[in-house]
Amino acid sequence: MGDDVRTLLRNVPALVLVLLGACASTPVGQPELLTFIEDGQTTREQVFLALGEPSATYEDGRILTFRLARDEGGYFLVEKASGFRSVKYSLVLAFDDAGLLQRHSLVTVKAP
Amino acid sequence: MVARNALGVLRCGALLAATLVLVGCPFPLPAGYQASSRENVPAEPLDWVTVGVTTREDVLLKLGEADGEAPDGSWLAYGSAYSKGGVLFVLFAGSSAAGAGGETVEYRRLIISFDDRGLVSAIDPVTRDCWESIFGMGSYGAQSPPCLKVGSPE
Repeated sequence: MGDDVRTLLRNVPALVLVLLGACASTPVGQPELLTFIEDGQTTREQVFLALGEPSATYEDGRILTFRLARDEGGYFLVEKASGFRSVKYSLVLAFDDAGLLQRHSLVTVKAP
Repeated sequence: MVARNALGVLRCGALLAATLVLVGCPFPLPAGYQASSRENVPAEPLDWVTVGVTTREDVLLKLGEADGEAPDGSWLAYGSAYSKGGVLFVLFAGSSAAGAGGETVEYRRLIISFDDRGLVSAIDPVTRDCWESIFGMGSYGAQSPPCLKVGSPE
């Protein structure tokens, strides 16, 4: 009986680790998702290829926005849904008439 | 006949709500922004906006994607919903439960209008506090509608 209890107690830390491991999730963020963005350099085509369909467009598509969140791995895109559920940032990209990025900003829409 | 039925439903609802308040377990509803709400709608005046000078692009770069936009682009709407807290009375019965309660929600909305050149022509800020009731039974739940639409000027 005493041995059983001692064995059980010895295994408690391992059990705790297993339980904690089950709670952890794999990060989906990418550290380099937004590093290609540079004013005066990045084209609209590069943006679409890297980020896909924007969540909103303004001024006939001259201004694009993307919804993002962030985890330990980096930024990741959030699918458009009603409201800003799960969204932490709004990436705003404004292009010139030639489709070259003029200005951009990463707006925090929810406190981190 | 219809009015009589409606009165009966109202009486039942009131009776149920009263029962829940009297015998239900009270659970405080914490303060905080609603899950679908943005949190960057400022309460103070937008000192970085100058009517006739600030562009739509400037506004978007500062506040991000809007909650609503006019079909012709003449306005952008930004809104938030912040719960100031409330209480929910829950009655447990076997494997099911029923609850009723309410919370105070502060709605904040900014309508920013633009002229034909895309320059800010007006800013219309509105803040409104509402008492919203919540009711749930089993897998059914309902909440009173918001008293201010944050995505449009209606």
